[in-house]
Amino acid sequence: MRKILGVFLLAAVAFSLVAFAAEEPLIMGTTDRVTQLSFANSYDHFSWHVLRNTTRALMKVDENLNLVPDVAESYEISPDGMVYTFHIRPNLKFWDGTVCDAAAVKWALDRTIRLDGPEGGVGLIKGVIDHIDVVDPLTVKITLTRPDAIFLLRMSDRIAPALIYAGAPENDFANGKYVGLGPYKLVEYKPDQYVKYEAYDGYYGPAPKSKLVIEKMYSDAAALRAAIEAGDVDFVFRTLSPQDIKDLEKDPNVVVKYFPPSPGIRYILFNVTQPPVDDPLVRQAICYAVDRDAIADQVFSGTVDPIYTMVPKVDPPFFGAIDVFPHRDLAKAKALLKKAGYDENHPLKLNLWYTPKHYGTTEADVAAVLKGSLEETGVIQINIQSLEWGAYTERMSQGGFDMFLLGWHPDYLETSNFLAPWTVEAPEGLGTFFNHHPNYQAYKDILEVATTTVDVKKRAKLYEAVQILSAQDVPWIPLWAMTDEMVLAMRPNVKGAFLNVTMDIYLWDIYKE
Amino acid sequence: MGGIARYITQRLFLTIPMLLILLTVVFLILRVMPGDPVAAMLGGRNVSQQLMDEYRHKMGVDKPIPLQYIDYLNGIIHGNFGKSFRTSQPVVTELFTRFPATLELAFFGMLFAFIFGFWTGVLAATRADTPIDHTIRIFHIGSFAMPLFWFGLMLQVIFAVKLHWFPVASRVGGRIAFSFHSVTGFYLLDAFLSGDPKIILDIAKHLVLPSITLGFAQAGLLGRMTRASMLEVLDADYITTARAKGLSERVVILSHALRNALIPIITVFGLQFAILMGGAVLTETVFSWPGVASFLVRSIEARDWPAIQGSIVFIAIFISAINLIVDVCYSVIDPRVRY
Amino acid sequence: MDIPRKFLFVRLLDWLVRRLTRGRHALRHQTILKIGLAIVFIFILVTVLAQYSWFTPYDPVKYRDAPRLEGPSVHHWMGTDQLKRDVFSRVLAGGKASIVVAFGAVALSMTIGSILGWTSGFFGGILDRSLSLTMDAIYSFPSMILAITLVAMFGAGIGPMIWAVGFVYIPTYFRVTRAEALQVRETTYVEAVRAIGAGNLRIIVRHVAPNTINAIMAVSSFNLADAILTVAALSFLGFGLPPPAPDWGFDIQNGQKFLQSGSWWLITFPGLMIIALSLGFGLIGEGISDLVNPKRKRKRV
Repeated sequence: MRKILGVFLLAAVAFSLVAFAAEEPLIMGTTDRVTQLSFANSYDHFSWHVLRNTTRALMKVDENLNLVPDVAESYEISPDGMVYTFHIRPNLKFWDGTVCDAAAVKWALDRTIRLDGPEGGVGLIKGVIDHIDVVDPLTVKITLTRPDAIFLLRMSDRIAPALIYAGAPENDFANGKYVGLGPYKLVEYKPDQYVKYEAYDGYYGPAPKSKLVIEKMYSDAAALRAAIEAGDVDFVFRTLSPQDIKDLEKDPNVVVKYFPPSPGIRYILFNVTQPPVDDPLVRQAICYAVDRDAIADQVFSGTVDPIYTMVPKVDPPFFGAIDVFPHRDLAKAKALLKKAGYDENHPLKLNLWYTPKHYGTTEADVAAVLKGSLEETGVIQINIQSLEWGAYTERMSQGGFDMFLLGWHPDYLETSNFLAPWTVEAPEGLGTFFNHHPNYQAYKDILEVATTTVDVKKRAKLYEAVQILSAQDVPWIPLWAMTDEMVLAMRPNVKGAFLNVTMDIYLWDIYKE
Repeated sequence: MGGIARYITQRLFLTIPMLLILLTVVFLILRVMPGDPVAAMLGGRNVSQQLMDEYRHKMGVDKPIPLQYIDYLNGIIHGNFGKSFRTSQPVVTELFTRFPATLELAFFGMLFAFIFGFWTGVLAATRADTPIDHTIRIFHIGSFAMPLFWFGLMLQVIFAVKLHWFPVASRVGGRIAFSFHSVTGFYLLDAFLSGDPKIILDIAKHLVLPSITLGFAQAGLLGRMTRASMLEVLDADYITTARAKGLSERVVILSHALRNALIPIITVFGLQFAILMGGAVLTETVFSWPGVASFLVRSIEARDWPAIQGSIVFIAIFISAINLIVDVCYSVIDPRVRY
Repeated sequence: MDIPRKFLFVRLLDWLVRRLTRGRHALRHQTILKIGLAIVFIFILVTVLAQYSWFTPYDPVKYRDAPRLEGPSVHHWMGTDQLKRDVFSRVLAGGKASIVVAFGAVALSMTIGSILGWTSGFFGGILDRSLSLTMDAIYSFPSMILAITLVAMFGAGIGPMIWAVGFVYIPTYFRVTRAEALQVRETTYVEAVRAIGAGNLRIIVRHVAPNTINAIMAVSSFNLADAILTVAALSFLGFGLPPPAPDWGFDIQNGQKFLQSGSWWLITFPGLMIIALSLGFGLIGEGISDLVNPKRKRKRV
């Protein structure tokens, strides 16, 4: 009897295995979270990633980093650069069968701009768009408020507020209640658990290579690593710990691929109004004392790259990057501190703030190593302090930090996005209070001219000038580029997965053999 | 029966003021929280003062404290805890989708604690003052001294990382997630409903290590109490009588002694549950278990004010309900408490 | 298992407990209590000494003087961590937060809880009823969740942790002292004292409080054991001391990252320290309970 039961069970298992093989999904693991599936009220990597997989924008940045029409078939720009006319692809349909025409495009963009959630990135498109007109069912005309060198980039799929959708509630954030026209349909989203996709058969582009995809969210890097090791997931995207990456490289069942360089950067910021770091000599001294190599080696096992300017060295799309910050020189640091009035008997006492989880599991170690490297001068004493992310940003925007760690991923792929935010765009929100700095006006003037200059060479020169100035004023100290984020770990049968400076995968290109 | 009804009514009337006090304490604690929830929510973005005020008004935190208190109680009565900043879902929805996970974990943790606790307790009592008894007693005391999260990590190292017997973390395997549809939220139940042995095995495997972790300290406590209670009962006259009647030792212990020893143990059950909820915070964190407790921790990290408040209120109500139920059960088993 | 008599500290405590328990043959047969006291004493001593750099084999916070993530060896008895620090040195020094917070929190809750309990039990009436209800409400709430929430409100660090953990234990002392005070209030002795014209404060201080000392002592030992675990849990969740300060709970959190790389030594040793210290307090509690309540020791013949 027992034997028969056993055979029966085995048969059942075998049958279910066969049933599975028929629609085996592609499974991605991540430690990221969706904040909100809303075009108007989300501003983070993973939420935008999900939105991008499920719907498309007028333009797109393709796999080779070319900016090409997508929902639009073609476009024209008026000679004065104030009017953009997009010709929509014919016969476009959202998942629910609704037609996507010029009116639908206008509706989606207008709605996003009107709702402009406090947690969203609508500001990236809002200020430049004056109004949108439907010329005919397949032609939409966007009039700008001012000429904008990067308007087409703003209208691309990199910027979630530019994505085209339908079916969202009129006066509330979408919260996942929308229909798209992208390669994938959003089947199910369970907060903190997973996102399920199914290929949308009405997609106008090439059909996605995997029909079913699950993106599973793990609580931490350790769980993520265990999942790829056990084969619970097919590939992993954001973010393994450096140690785990090194270990996985030795695992024959896992392929680890690096896609450097990274446009993500980490840096120290100063509140330039807070003593003792209101003294430029002090900031310069710290600049000479920080040990980027120690961080890269000790904390990240060499998986990140030290940097000496804020602008990523990825050209295109970021041009004009020049190394302006000095390499480590303890003697210079001491000399500068002496000039500022500090020595062994009158040490410089400073806080170093960090946030423990927002930037992965390594942040406490980074703070510890930074403390060590600064204290090697013998003149600096560091008091490490931490706050969870919510409280951290709050205190930062109130000017409550003197020296603190932060990170940056580009909102749009252009150099000014690595120079303007902390100096002229949101100096208080980002905690530098640079608007109180004596040279504030100079930065403002240069950057204003730069962003309206269409000539790339001239623009690059202006950006270089800002970088040179920044090495004198030191509102920030660039530390390292997050090359460790440009890593994918996958099972050997996974093909087509890669990363470029957009920092996102092209999900529809990935498949299992 | 009239006695029971009266007791329940009495107990209910006692529960309401206690819950109200607890809710007030929660309110006071959360309102002295340093920092501005609106600023935290807008998180470092450059937002105009006008927009800040607008949101402050929308969230009702610009009102005087007494009015906020009334709003707060009103919200609780109507089951409206606001929307989570972090997930933008109503907090109640978030809690109810996560609650089954916590309850499932708590149930199996308790189950482990009962089985293991009773077994070791009875074993120690029947072999009092032998080396077995001493070993078990040391183990019982030791189990309180064990940091729960550390125990969980050790189980992970040994049984998941080294031996690969069980998965390291989470509720369901990545491969199963797509074909598995949860109806009730209790995954093991859902797995049985699906009837697929592969799913049942997967879900069950995910439950083992977290349940043992959560139940371990409880097992020690229950074991200790069982031992003490059994020792007392084993001396009683009716046990001697039972033995004299020639009943086998097994029958005597299981049917006579254990049943009577159970009574005092059930009293602490309500309190145990509170401790269990505390343990769930750590267990859920270590095993990435998507429950209410880990939701609270994540909300605290994100300063997600409505979610923090909602989770705590939810837990408070839940604990009060459990206490009420336990008290009523106890009054049924042992009528003396009613008077 | 007998602890050598030569431990001065144990003798001192022996004397103290004897005084406190009014001349019962205090430590004569209390092996459990003695082991507990010895453990706690050693831990406190080591933790205090380890705050000085000459005591630990290496600097617990300094990096760069050893191989990275190396298992236990002759040079590094408990291995090294990812920043090349000596785990043994960190383990020795890592009890500071646990011990300070545990004692601080218990002292805080003991003071507030007892005072509330005495007054509440002694005066009775509406004050007693409302206080009791409030305390019951707080008591019924999961203490770990309450502690986490409080510490998240107050911010990380030793001071906030003392307040958070202390707050959680207040009802425990309240319940114990109130019950005793209720009993004492009814005794003819107190009535007599009152008849002579002694004030309420005097009666509480001179007659109510001393009667509750035994119960308070037993409860606080168990509370200390529990506090050690709570502090460890708070540190584990990242609400403890800021790095790079050595701390058991935080070091376990740190070790968790390297668990799957096979670096078992990072979490094992700090965990064992927590167990040992908590066990030490637990044993003292057991011992005192046996002393105070000899019935518990009754053996079945």
